[in-house]
Amino acid sequence: MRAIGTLTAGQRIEDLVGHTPLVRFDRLAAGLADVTILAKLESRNPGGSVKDRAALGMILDGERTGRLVRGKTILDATSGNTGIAYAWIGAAKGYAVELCLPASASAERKAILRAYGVRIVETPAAEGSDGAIREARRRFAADPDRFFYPDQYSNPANWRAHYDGTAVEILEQTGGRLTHFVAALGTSGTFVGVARRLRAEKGRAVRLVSVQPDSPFHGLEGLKHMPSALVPAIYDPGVADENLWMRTEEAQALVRRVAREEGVFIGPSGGAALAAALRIGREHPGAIIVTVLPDGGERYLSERFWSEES
Amino acid sequence: MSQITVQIPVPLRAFAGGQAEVTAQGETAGQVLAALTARYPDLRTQLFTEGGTLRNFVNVFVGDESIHDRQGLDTPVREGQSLSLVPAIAGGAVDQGRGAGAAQGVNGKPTVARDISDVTLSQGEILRYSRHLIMPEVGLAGQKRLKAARVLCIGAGGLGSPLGMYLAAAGVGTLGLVDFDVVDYTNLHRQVIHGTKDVGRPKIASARDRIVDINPEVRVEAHEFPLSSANALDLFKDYDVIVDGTDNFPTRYLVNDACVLTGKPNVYGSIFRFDGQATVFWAGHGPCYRCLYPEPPPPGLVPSCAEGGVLGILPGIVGLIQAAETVKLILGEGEPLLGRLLLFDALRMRFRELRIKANPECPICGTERTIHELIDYEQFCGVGPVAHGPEVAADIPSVTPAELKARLDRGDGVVVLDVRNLPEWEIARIPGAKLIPLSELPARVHELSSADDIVVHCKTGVRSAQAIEFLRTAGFRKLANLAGGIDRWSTDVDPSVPRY
Repeated sequence: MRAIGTLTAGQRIEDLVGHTPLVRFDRLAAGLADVTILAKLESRNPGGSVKDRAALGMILDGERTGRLVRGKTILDATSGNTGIAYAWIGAAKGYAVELCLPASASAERKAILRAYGVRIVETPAAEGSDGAIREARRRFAADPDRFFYPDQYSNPANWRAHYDGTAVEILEQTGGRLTHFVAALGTSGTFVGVARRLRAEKGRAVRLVSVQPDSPFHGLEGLKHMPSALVPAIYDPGVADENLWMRTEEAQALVRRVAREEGVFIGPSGGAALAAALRIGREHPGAIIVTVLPDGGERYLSERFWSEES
Repeated sequence: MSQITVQIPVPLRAFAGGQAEVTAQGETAGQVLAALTARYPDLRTQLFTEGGTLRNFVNVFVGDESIHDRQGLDTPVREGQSLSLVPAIAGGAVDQGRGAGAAQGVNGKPTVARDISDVTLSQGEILRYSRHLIMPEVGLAGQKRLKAARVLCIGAGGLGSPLGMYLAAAGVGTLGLVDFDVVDYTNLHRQVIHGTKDVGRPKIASARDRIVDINPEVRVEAHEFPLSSANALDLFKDYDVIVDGTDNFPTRYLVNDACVLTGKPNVYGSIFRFDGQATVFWAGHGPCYRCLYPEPPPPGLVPSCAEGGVLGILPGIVGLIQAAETVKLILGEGEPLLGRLLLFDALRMRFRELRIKANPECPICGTERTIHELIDYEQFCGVGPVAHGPEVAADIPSVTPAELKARLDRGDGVVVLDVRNLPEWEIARIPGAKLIPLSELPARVHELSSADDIVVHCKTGVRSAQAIEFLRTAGFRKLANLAGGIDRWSTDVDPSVPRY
């Protein structure tokens, strides 16, 4: 092999997490009174979703604290994006990855995970993501020495990644000039982390709005209806100034609309975030609203809502 | 109108009175859902749009087929079919066809199905399993699942014999066997995996030979050591299904707890005399063994097969029920014996079924768990390590068969009391002994005189020790236990007395 000396070109793939673009949605805000809608395009992360931030944060934290050492397997419950994040980060860093997910997760998701060499443990579809969480906990309890169980629902490194990353980027990219931050709740890591930092930096000058599905039975992948779900330990209901309840169809309509009107291809949870931003914009003239679009639409192509009329 | 069972997923149960399963009538999926939402109006807005069409992320399955692939809400339903409501997750597509996880994703049926994308069947295997392959419930995918499956049999005895042979024949790819016993003549009337030529060989070696003869495609993993709290978790974690073919309570609890801690299904069977039991324990999907039996019975209360006997055919029937359940769990087909305890009575030739439920206060699978690791099961069940052999309380005087023979030959008036059961008496007896079965002793104690020197015996010395403890409370003092019972009498004194 030829020596390459001290060439330092190129970056490690882990270094590409974060620093996502902030996209303006002018056409969406066009009918509103001097409202700006801005959104972090998280599909630009290496793994294609916002979950790269939390997963990398938890894995680095595990290494720092000695809970993740060479030879251990990364284990967690995830119905998708976090799993993909663990999968590529595990591959890049040389850890095996084992994931519990509901059997109803799409074939495409499973194919992506397998491509990264993940071992998949399927749990009953009827139990949803809560069933996967229970299975992961059981596996970890049975063999705690074999696994590193980041437990994205309970691990403070999840929301810290947003406190130290996403929030700082938003403040830099807006020059601190935002009046509203809105994000949908899954593990709640994005909302809790960003909201805490914004509150710390800007006090009451920024209004913090969370979004949840309007029912335990919904089609918004990755989002949680907190009143009926296994509530994540990192969730702090005291952070939000307000919570908006989102019906699946309203979020889906926004997904179709921004694809057709803005040329931005997002997933249903991003649709929920933008639908909420739009609701806020209607009531607050002059608002500068920032939200987070967790992933792109590619992973939801087999869903039926694409073909419906808005 | 057909009566249809509707499976309600967890997120919708709050809108259906908290129930997991309800019945409704109709001739089409739409009619069934209409009847359902008439009864539970809150479900209506969850399932339907204002325009009355099904919301786009709701998947409805009739049997294992999505109505989207058939006639939508007009899909016909038949009496006895099940209709499942499944919320879409991550793209909404439940694997179509019979791909990995399809069975589970479709009806929420628990399965241990593995990824079979890399599994292939040779032409020889296709021929061997052809009668399986032509059934849609198995098919090529199901046979591959069987091949990919890893099943652990605890014990290669009565239940382990039919289990090992039939699971091997059915094409289960990897069979683990745990046993460290040796084949004995008394095993042969029921442990049909071993032959007469195998007496004296380790059971695990004999079982492996038979399995490989039945199906050389099967990989046998031999674990020739006693299952213990130290090795169970490590051993179980690499298997998909654990089949319990053991014969004692400490191991039952050990198998159960290790299954709960590793999340594995425990296919249970037990046999005694003419009665059998079978069920599938699987914490998270149904009850575990501790939900049914929180505490073991007091030691000695429940006799073992060695003491009470067993119909030789019985483990064949019960073991094959376990084998069928194991295969179903692997295929993800049918209705597993979860939450149902099957009772079999060979004398009356009847099956009965009891509903059993997970106990929320179960110490290992309940909401407030108190057991987080494996414990000392011998202690938990109140049996010491000596309990496997003849157990004699320390303060009970004993005589050896040789000493008893000498006293009888001297004619010193010793009374020999046999506390075994009549069928045992008919097999073998000590000349001059008086038979009063242990269970009849309290009623017939007046037939004995406390003035006599009494030597009590049974088969090996356990029941006679219990008899002596009873006689002491009745005022008898001149008592001794025959060490090793009639079994040792046969080996030490009189080989013409048959051992059994």
